[in-house]
Amino acid sequence: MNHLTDEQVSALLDLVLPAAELAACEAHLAGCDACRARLAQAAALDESLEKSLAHDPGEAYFESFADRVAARIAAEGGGTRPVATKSRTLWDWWRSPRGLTLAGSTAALMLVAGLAWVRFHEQGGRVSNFRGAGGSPVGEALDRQSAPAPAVEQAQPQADFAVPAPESERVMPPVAENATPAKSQAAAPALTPPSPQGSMRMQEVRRDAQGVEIRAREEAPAAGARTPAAGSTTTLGMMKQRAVAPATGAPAAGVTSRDDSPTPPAAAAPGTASKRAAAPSSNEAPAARSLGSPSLTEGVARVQESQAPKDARVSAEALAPCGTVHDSQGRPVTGAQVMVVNDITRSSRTGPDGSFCLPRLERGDVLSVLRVGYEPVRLTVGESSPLAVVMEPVGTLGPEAGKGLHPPGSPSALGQAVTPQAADKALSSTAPKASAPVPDVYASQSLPARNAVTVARESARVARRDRSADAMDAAALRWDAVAALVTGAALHDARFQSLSLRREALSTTPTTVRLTRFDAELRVFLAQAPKNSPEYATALRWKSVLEPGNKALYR
Amino acid sequence: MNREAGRTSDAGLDDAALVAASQKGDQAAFGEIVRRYQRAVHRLGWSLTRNASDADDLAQETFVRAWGAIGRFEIGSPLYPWLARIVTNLAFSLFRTRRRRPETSIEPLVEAGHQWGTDDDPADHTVRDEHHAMLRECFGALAPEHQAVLALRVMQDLSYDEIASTLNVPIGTVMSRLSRARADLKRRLAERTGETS
Repeated sequence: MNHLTDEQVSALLDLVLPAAELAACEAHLAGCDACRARLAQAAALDESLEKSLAHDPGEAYFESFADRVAARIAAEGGGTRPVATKSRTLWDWWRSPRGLTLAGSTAALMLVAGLAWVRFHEQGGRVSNFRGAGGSPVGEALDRQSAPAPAVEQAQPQADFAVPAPESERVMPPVAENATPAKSQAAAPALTPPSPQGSMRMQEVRRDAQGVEIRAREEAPAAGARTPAAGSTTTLGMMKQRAVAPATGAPAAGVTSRDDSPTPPAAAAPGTASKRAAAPSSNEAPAARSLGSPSLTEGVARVQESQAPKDARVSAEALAPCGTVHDSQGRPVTGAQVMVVNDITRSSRTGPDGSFCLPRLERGDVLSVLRVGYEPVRLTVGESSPLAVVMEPVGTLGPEAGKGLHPPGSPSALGQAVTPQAADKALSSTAPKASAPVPDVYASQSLPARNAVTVARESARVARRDRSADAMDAAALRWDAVAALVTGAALHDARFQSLSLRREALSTTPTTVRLTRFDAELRVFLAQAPKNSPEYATALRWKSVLEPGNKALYR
Repeated sequence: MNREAGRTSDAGLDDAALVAASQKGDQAAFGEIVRRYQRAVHRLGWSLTRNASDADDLAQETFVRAWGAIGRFEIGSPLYPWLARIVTNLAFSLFRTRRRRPETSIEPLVEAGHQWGTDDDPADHTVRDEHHAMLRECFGALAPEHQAVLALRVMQDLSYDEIASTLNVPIGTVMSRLSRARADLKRRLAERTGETS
């Protein structure tokens, strides 16, 4: 037998060992001097401890002790007799410290679980969005659908079916610096990694029916926004200084990015200022518009100034390196997906002015910029370059592209197998036109109609977020229900919303049934929609893809 | 050993009768309970605090609480483990409140001096007191639950069942805590004296 354990020695002292174990221990002790010594030492320690802790205050102390206790009981109002109770009720138990502790712990646990669920839900939505954007071709098709294309493209007939050209890899050129007063240079944000807390903030991208991103958090108007002088430089050091400088002023209307970091307006790429000034984003603040095209520095500063008083965390996010995406003609590219290669946690999407921000961006990171209708761009973040990305447009299908491929009114080829690749290829070239926030055409409609609109919008939002074709079909039906309740422009819009959702469902999960339904709805829409409306033009382009010649793509 | 004399009534009334009378508001009966268990309660309080003032407060508070709660006491249950539980809970509360180890008081030395016999050798007492003081310090450095289980076993001579009832823990926990408490005390004492355990 091995030597006795401490527990066995302790139990031997107290004579509480079971008989069998006691016999074994005694047998061991008979032949083990060490264990006998341990046992004797433990017994001596107990005895010594008893003496050490012995204390007798004397008889005089105890003679009056009961009286002192009685006096205290009387003093504390306990003179009345205690009432015997049969047992504690459940209510008594809940009121006890243990019950309160349990109740509090349970509440805290539920709170934490709820917060964790909400957090997980948010992140899940974000990852889902990203996966759809950069993952499968069908997902990319969705992005391409959702992202508005420049209006100029849509007016140009294109024969190219938008097969992406190989990505070009280049180091981003620095944005030209112009003469700027030192006053504005002293407070520019830098290419500084934001705090982990800020970088981990994720928020789903919401889109309206036209695929335009809508802000998850509404900023206040920029009426009182402090706007720096135009032409501020965008050097990294200045950006950092501005980022850390305390800022004041009213929030400015900004744009959203996927990580909820406010995206500044576009930087002034060389030679683009005048063009952008001629067509400012509808979301830009009036103050900014009055000064012409805002620079990146201005934008970052404006956003920081608007956010800093609200929330320090938002301010930290504003430190994220920001940049802009323009096309070769200097027009901002909206809805472009900007991501750090091999890092799904860092991605962003350009706003209406082509600007974006990426958290924790470091020199040497490889960025991939994707946008339907443009050649993908892959670039490496340079040493001192603010992020100014120029994308080259590629051919897209225009309204005229389908002409000649089929005779108008020819029967459609229904009931045929559709491949996702084909649907993606065909539908990707028909991104809806970029549009400003649509005025609420339902404002004058009846209350039930407005309620139905609310339900339909939410349904569509969830469907697009989840990229669920079935949910998109269901959302389309809700818009059909809205169409039955409204008239005039609202009727036209509801039909277009339904049609858009059916098209997205077809792109997400192409089936013959969806193709048939979309084709039928499309024809109805074209027959009833005002011919001069942009929705009609868009639907016309969609129709061109579905003509017999192009339907072969679905086989 | 040091079992409180009169744990069962010597005056004709056993604990159950005293409790029953107390539950009916008989303060004299409760006074008898106080007198019966005051020494044991005070001793346990002193073991856990090693401070005469704290031990006095603890003992008085224990009986005040007992009076307030005796209405819920189940007649027939052993009374002293219930009182000991109040003492230990109050002591734990005191530990938590003060967030420090009980102060080392000179009172025990003074009081111990009164107990010295006239024919004792003061030098022996000095060595013995140093050892006891060191042992008390080591005991005070133990975890509160280890102090309680050791005090209840060594000072109060309670059985494992009674200790389990007092501390509201299983008997297996009592056994393991006692083992660890003794081992920890032995280790601390060896560290203080420079001996190898």
